Amino acid sequence: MKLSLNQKAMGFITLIVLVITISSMTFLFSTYRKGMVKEITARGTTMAESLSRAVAESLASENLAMIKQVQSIVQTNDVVLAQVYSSMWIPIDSYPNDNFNIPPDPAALKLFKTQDATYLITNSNDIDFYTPVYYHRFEKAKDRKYVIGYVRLKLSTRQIQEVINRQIAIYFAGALVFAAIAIIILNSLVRKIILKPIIQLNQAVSNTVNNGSLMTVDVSSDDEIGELSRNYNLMSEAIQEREKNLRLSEEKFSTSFRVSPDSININRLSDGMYLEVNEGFAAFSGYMPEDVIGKSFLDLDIWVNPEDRTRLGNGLKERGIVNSFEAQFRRKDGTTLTGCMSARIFEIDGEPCILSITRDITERIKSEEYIRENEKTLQTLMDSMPAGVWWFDDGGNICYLNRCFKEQFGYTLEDIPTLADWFERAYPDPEYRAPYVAAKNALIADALNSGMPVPPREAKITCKDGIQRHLLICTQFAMGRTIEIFTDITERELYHDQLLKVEKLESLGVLAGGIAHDFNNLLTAIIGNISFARTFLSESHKTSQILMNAEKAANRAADLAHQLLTFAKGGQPIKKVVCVKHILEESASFVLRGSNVSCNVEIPDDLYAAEVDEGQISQVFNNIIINATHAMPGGGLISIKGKNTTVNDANIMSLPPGWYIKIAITDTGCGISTENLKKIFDPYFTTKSYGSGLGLASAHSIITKHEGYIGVSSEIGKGTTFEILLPASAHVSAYDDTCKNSNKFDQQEGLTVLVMDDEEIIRAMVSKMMVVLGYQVQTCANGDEAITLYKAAIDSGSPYSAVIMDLTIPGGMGGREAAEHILAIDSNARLIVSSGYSTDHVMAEYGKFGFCSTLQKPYNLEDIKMTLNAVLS
Amino acid sequence: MDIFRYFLVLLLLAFSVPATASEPIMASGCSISNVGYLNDLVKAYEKETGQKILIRGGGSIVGLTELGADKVDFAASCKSAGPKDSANLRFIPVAWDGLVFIVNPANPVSNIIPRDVKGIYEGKIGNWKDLGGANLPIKSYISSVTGMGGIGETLAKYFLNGKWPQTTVNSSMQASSVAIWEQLVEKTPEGFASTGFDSARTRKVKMLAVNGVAPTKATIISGKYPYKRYLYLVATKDAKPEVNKFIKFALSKKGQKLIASYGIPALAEMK
Repeated sequence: MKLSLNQKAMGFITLIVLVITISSMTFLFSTYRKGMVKEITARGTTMAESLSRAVAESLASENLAMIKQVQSIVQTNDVVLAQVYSSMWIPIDSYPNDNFNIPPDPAALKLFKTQDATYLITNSNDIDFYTPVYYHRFEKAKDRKYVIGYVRLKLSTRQIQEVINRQIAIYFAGALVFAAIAIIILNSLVRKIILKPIIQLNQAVSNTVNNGSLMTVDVSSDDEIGELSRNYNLMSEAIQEREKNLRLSEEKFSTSFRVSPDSININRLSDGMYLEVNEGFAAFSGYMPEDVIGKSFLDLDIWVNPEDRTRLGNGLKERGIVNSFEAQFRRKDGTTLTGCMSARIFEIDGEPCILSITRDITERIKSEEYIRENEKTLQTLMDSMPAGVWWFDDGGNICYLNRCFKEQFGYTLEDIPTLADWFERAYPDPEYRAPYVAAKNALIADALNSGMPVPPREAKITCKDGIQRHLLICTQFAMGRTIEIFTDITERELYHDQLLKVEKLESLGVLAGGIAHDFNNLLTAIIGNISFARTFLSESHKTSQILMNAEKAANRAADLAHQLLTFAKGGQPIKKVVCVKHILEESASFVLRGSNVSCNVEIPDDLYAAEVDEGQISQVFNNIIINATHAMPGGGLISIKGKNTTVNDANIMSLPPGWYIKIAITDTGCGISTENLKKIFDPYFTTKSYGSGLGLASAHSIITKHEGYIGVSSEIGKGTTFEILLPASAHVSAYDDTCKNSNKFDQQEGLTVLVMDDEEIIRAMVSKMMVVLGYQVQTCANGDEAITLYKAAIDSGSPYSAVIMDLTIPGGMGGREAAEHILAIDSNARLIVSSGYSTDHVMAEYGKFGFCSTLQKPYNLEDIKMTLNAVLS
Repeated sequence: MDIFRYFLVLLLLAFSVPATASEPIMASGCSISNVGYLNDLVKAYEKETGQKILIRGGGSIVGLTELGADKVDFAASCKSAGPKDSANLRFIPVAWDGLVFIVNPANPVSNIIPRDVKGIYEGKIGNWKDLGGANLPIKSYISSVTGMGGIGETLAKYFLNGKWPQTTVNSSMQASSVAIWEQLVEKTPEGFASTGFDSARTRKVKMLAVNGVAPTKATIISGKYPYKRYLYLVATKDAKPEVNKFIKFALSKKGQKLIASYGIPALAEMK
């Protein structure tokens, strides 16, 4: 049965209104009935309990008349039964009397075995109330209250039901009237507001469907139906526009298909038969449309690799579409080319077909191959670079790290995928990182704004293994990437620092050396005269002690000048092959005598000998060991270790390559702060109130002039280690001989010595000393005189046994030139060069200049005696 | 000396405090006993000793049940001790009674023979005309089988050949106790009930002669009216001293004299 929308709406509205009406009525009367039942329940309970209390006394005395009298109080219209029972549930009285034998409900009997509260049973037409009767006639017997019977009251609910039925009838009639009116009104409204526009829309759509004509409907409201009408009108316009566009699109597609440079062909899926091809296909394959239409690809043998065609077919079957499918195709002329194909399945008149678009990518493949080769070359180039290289994109993602970067700094792309990761790991100290990153960003921003290159910048990074490296970073921009080159300048910087230090010490040395030289001349006279004067006095003479004190003070002044000269420019060491182990042991023994510091010397017996100035090296060791004891006032351990080592070209100590001995002196003292460590070799830098500040400066100067290296490392609270490298000597055997003969000494008397010195007081002093030592002495003030006197002595047949020559004679011939002349006269001349210690290399390499020995100013009697004994022995 | 006198007065006062200060004794049970003698005896005892005793009816079974449940201190019973009664209970005969059959005073029937009694209780006789009365159905008031104490026991013994009356009989009407039956018979012309002589004599009912012998104190004492039985006071073996005192009083010469004075046969009067 076909129903119109109007009929359906009418039926629906009627159904809804009726359901609402009936539901409301049901709910209303259910609530009403519950209220009535509740009320009658309360009333019945009250009546039963009242009867229970009233009948108690009568029941106790078994007074039936009184029971009946009491029971009359509940004899109302709706009471259908009132009974009084004994405690054994045997009836005593009943209202009405006809109901005397009606038994109590078994449920009540069962219930009152366990409880004594009022109990009610709701039946269809009545409610049955049961209440116990308690016996407690006197106050004092209240605690012995017990049940002596029961009352039962049954209230009829028929009256309620009748009232409800009447109400239902009235309300139902009213509700039906209301429902009928509601249905009429609602139907009218729905028809006008909803159905009419919908019917109009339906007619319009039917016209469209049946006639294909699109029409405009009236929009009569602003609600959803009005919106629907508007949308229909819009849809109608849109369909017209779309049809127009579709026609245009078909034209465009047709044109595109025809003129597309890509090969487009449509094949039947079932047998691969070509249905249509465009001009691009002809250009791609060499086949004209008339060559291929009606033939399959198998006929043309167009696929170079048939398995490619199988793969394409499988892809289309699985997904219905295949994109970027690369394969090789054979042209009509037999040549092959590579095509990139996109294909999909569609239907033409229900027949599954394949639409394929193929682009010739033969040239692109070649280009890509070329680019890959270039990239490979670039990669090789990058990996060959001695500097670290990376590049990152605009998002801060690091794209590439070259081999040098990974090897030098230890990081891989997995460790530092982004710049943020790099900053966090390479600059772990936030106080360094934040300003560095800010400065870097500012530099890059400036460069981008100005178009100028980013200036190179330096940074100290922490490698993956925790070592810090000093880098020079250059930044370039290319193709949306930022390329940075990291040059490790750690060693260069160290070398630079070292060089600065050496230059600084050399400048200071020039000044110190000049001062010390003059001092030495004066001190030579002072010390010499004092020591000479003491020879005339017995030890017990009261002046002897005074002179001894004066000599000591002068000797301390001489030590100071000596130290100054040590790091001065002219302080060249006087080298000879020595056993460094022997010097170290002597120094440790000497310095630590009486000290609470113990020493452990671990130097192998095969330690190379070294060609050094024994006095200077001893001074170095003394200074270091003295400092170590000062660092351990409460006692401790000094460890001295030595070993043979080699140094190659690439060393940061600026040492020439070769064999070296390496000495490490380690204490367990308080350590040196990083701040002080930088200045420790500076002259006059000291942390001690009693120090001169020249000890380690001298040590540095001495080791440097021995072409060695001295370095220090320290940790606060743990100790300090001085590391010294000295060139090993190739003349090990010479040392042994030197050692064996070094202490031989023979007294020589009656011999004549010539003394040349420009200072009169020195000449006078030395003359006196020579006499005391048993020598005859002649003096002269310069080289010319010395040459004359020496020549005269030879001529006289009494040549001088030795000549002590001052190296530097202001305004006259010095010792070096005079020695050449004298040796020209007498090649066996025993010449001793004297100077304020090593003013130039002649003192250090006296042998080269013909001298037999040196006499360092200032000197005393003992010095002269030992030197002459050595030269003349 | 004055102080000694004052102390002596206080001592005498303390010992002269009446028993009214003690708890009331509770009792329930046989309506025949209550109406027959117990209500009056209790009043006399209270007057003499000050001991209050609360008496409630309900029947012998109710009294024995409530005594067993410790709801009351003693019970009155016209039923003798049976095998189902607790061994802890003491059944003490206090007075004599006679089983009588009562009808409404308006009923013309005055005599009944044992066979007719049996016929009524067995349902064979249901109309008064069968006994020479009006054409009215007999309303025979009984309790339940379990609720009928002494009356059921005595009926079974003298009239029903050992069987107890049944409630299934058409003419029987259930009511809780003898006292109620008596009152119902007072108001119901066609009413009939078995009861005790001791209580029936106080009601406005007619006691039927059996085999021509009317139940009176004299005929009961003399044995002419043979359907005699004891009325008991029942207490537990560990009853309160006050209960024992009262029972002792009831059995005393004074108590028995009082019982006799109420118009019922005292123990010693029976020949």
